[in-house]
Amino acid sequence: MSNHLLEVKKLSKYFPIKGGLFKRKVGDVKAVDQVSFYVKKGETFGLVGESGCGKSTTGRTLLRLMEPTDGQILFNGVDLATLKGETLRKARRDLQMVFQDPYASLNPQMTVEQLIEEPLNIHNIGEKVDRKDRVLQIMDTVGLNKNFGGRYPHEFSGGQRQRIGIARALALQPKLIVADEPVSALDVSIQSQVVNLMEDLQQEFGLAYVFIAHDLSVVRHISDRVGVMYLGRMAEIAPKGELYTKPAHPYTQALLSAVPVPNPRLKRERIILKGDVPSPANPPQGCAFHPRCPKAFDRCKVERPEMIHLGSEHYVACHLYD
Amino acid sequence: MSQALLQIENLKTVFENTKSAVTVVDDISFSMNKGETLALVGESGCGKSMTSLSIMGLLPGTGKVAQGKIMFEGNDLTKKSVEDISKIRGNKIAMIFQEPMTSLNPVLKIGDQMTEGLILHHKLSKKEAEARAIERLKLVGFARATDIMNEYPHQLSGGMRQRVMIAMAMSTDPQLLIADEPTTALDVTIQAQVLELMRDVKAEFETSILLITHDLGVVAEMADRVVVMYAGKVVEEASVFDVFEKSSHPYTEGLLKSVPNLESDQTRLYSIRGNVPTPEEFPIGCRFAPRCDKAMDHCFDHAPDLYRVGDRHQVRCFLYHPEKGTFSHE
Ligand SMILES: Nc1ncnc2c1ncn2[C@@H]1O[C@H](COP(=O)(O)OP(=O)(O)OP(=O)(O)O)[C@@H](O)[C@H]1O
Ligand SMILES: Nc1ncnc2c1ncn2[C@@H]1O[C@H](COP(=O)(O)OP(=O)(O)OP(=O)(O)O)[C@@H](O)[C@H]1O
Ligand code: SF4
Ligand code: SF4
Ligand SMILES: [Mg+2]
Ligand SMILES: [Mg+2]
Repeated sequence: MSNHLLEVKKLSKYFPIKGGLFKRKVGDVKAVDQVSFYVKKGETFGLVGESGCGKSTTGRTLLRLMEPTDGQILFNGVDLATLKGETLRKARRDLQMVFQDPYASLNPQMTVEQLIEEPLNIHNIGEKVDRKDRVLQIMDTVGLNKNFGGRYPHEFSGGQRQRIGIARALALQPKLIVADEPVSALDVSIQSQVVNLMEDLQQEFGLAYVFIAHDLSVVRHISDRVGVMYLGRMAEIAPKGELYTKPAHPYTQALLSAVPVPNPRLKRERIILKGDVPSPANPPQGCAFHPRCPKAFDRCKVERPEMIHLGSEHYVACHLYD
Repeated sequence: MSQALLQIENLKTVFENTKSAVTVVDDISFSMNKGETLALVGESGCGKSMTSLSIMGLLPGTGKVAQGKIMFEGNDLTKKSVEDISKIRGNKIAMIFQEPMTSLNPVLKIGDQMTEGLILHHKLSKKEAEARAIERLKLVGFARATDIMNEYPHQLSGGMRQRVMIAMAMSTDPQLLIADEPTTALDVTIQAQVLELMRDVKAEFETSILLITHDLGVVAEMADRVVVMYAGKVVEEASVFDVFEKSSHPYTEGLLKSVPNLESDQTRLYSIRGNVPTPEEFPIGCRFAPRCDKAMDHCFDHAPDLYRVGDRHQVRCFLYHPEKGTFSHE
């Protein structure tokens, strides 16, 4: 257990649905519903699943950018979910976030230097004079030309802006970075530059990543282990080699078979799912996947499957394995 | 080339403002045969959408076709009047966009949107138009097609809206379907449904599809032929097999190598250095030269033409110039 940098236990995040005349609470969107997983020191945990399944909400709740409804977030053994004020602020230094759209998360009125220095100022790290050096050093690390420090975000390309976002996250020398779709908005040729950079930084600083993405090929490339979410719940967690070659959950199987592969000779057996993803405001009873699952049976409609351990680090939430 | 359904010749599209003119599509040529799916691929801003909007006569703002021919069934669309173009559009040529909400009217029921054109341009009676609309909605997989007719776009999910768009586009039996990133906004499992649907439609009606995408997986799955664009130019045109197996242009090669593979593990991804240029900063000479590992001195101040390297396989790169030897050691 000791090598688990982060351990998330039954984490839930509900958003109230308000309605009626008096805007009373009439229900909940169960964006994240009893999700558990762990991240080891220096590894990359990939989080995949379709739009709205709760990946971003999980990421934000981990950093307490959103208040969890329930559950524990153990970071180095300390439960972040219960921390307040100064202790929370201190603990947060070790966890940083990189966003999908760096442009939206960068203040357009600040220069690159100011943007990278800001977190150092907020956390009052080092002497003022040293901070400038530190900024230049970080810029160099992420491959930003040091002469461009006085420029504003709009003067950079998408890939360069993502480097600025990564530089800001790195400034505080965190142990864990939650990267929410960090390359999804980038062109293919730029995507690989940023992925390579993230891998280099991991090597250099022993960083752990929670890497959120919907592109299963990118996740396969960068992750050590992968968690698959469906409708706010964790469907399967496995080491990447195992997940991609021997997926156990019917949803993971369908998801993987749906990915178009850049090889025109390959004719793959495809599992076409019927229907659309249901709303998390009104998830199906029992297994949330049962209305679309080609293997569903009676029990699936009434009983929610628990995580079952399949051996090594492979877990699946499906009655077929019970 | 007599059986070419669509033939683009030296198309040049520009945006003019008071100060300058920006060329966003520069001397593009390609042709499509009946029943063929041609994929137009390339990174953001390379001019894919502007090429398709030029064909449709739907260029935004100050955009206009400055040069070239767009031959459709033997007629040059650039010479047609606005009325003639609008008759062809939504009739023989239909288009589906990345974001279906931009082309669906939020305050009109699906049924009304689908029958409007059929009644107006095809002179169908209301009854006939409704029957056709329901038939096409069933074709795209709506079991409750009659109900859908009475629903509004916001009541449908993204995948359902995209299927409605396809049903609508197919309601006039077009010869050519232009699909601009039709599945980019969709989840993979829904994308798989929509791609299968497009394949079915093509098989049933022999529709030619101009598929615009940046997803090389989608290309491999759907296309017969591929046109690769970079910075407003066609850099390679070939069959889908040649593109993936014998890609010749350094950019195409780099693009293919930078995509991570779902089927196997790689230790490190290939990456093309530098950035995609904007039209204002297109280099003189070969536009890929600043990023190209194989660039020769000659490439920086001379612009390559398309050179033939095989059967219907062309490449815009000096490495394939018939007299390459004369300048590679400059
Ligand atoms: N602030 C909020 N208030 C109410 N509902 C929310 C809020 N944020 C997210 N949700 C809902 O929670 C669910 C999960 O959203 P989330 O953004 O975490 O999904 P995601 O997996 O990141 O999706 P995507 O791939 O589209 O980014 C969705 O149904 C979403 O509509
Ligand atoms: N209304 C406009 N005025 C001036 N330039 C424009 C206009 N619309 C697009 N452009 C420019 O034309 C070029 C080509 O744009 P286009 O939309 O065809 O790219 P694309 O290949 O479809 O990219 P994407 O993959 O992002 O959709 C871009 O550089 C863009 O900035
Ligand atoms: S529990 Fe049942 S419905 Fe759910 S994934 Fe397993 S077989 Fe399918
Ligand atoms: S012409 Fe020269 S710079 Fe351009 S792609 Fe070919 S080798 Fe590279
Ligand atoms: Mg998200
Ligand atoms: Mg486009």
